[in-house]
Amino acid sequence: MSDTDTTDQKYLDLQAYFDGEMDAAERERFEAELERDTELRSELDDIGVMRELVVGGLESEAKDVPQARFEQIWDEIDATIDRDARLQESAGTRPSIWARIMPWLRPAALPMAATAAAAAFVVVVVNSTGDPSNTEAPVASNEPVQAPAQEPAPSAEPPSQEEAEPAPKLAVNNPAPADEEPVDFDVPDSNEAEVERIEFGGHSGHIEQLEGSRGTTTVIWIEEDDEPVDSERSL
Amino acid sequence: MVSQDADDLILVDAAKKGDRRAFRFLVQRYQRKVYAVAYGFLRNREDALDVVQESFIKVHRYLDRFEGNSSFYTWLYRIVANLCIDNLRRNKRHRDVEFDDALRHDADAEAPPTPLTNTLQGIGDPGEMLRRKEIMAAFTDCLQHLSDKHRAVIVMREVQGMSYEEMAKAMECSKGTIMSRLFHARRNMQKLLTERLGSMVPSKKDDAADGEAVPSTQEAVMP
Repeated sequence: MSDTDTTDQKYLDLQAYFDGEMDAAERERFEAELERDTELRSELDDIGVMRELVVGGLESEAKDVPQARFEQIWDEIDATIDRDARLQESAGTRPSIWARIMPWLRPAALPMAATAAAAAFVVVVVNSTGDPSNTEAPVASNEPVQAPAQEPAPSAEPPSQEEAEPAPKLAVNNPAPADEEPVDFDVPDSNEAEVERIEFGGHSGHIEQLEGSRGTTTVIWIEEDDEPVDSERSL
Repeated sequence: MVSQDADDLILVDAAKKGDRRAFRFLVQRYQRKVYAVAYGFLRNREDALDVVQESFIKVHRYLDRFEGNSSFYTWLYRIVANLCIDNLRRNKRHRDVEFDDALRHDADAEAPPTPLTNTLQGIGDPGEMLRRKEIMAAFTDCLQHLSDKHRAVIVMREVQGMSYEEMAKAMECSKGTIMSRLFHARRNMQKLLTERLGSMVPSKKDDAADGEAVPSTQEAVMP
């Protein structure tokens, strides 16, 4: 072991002694060595002085902090404790099912409302007389549907719009005059109805459809047409 | 109703039951000590004050877990030390001092370090010295020049009185590493303080002219 290593080891022992990390036997042995070694005693004094300076210096720094600053800190701690208590309280009561679902539904509320409205149109259109050649653009109605006085006569051909089925009835927007060519509409292959046009509040518009990846249709926009349309029935 | 002078454990029990006043008494009792420790670690007033706030918030949140196996201030100081160490890790700054245990004093291995007491006896009584702003500035300067790890072990040992094992747990290293780190930290601190305070020692010629005997090491240092 070199002299430096011996010195270092002696200092490590001194440190352990000073810090109370020696057991009884080690302490006794070291104290005997301290008695013999004045340099070691001087080193011990130095560690003690350094501790006084460190402790005293930091306590002096702490005394320099104005009391008002600590009052501010207490205000923050107090406010945080109140906040924690409120959070704990609200965590303790079980929210209703609706309250738990709402945060999930909120972002989708508008699209869902629009989808529901479009779905209502689809239901009305699907339940229409069905022969696209006898109809103009199908228009949904929000007025109560009146059952016709007489039931449509059973026929091989789909009944005309004038002989609409008891329910629901579709309002005809600008019913085609007898001498006009009926408008042909493509019949969807899958018998799914396409909502071409809607009426609302005395205006008319069209729905932009977005085909979803899972075969769903989401209504994302209702755009007003240029010219308002007169209609006895409207949404 | 608990009084401000009540024992720590009585205040803790009252605080556990929701007595905010009791908790405030605990805060007032230890806030400056916590600040002193945090300042020792972080060397920045606002950072140290943030740690004071975070420490007591954490204490309140985990008060139910304090079972009284150790003293309240030991438990509190452990929380403070952990927060300070986390703070240092988050805000690691590049410094031009050693980060590992390589020593500045190794360069003077052949010359034994000048005893700090010899330097200080030239200045006067240590208790008196602490009231002098110059000493405080010297101490703060020396603390600034230690690495984060050296400063941490000095504060944990000298101010918080943590054992080597507690320090090893806080710094996630072995007890041997702590002992080595503390050894080097103290050596460096001693060298820095001697250099810094040495410039404040009045000339020996003045003392001789006054006819005053230079006090012995024991008289100058030991309270």
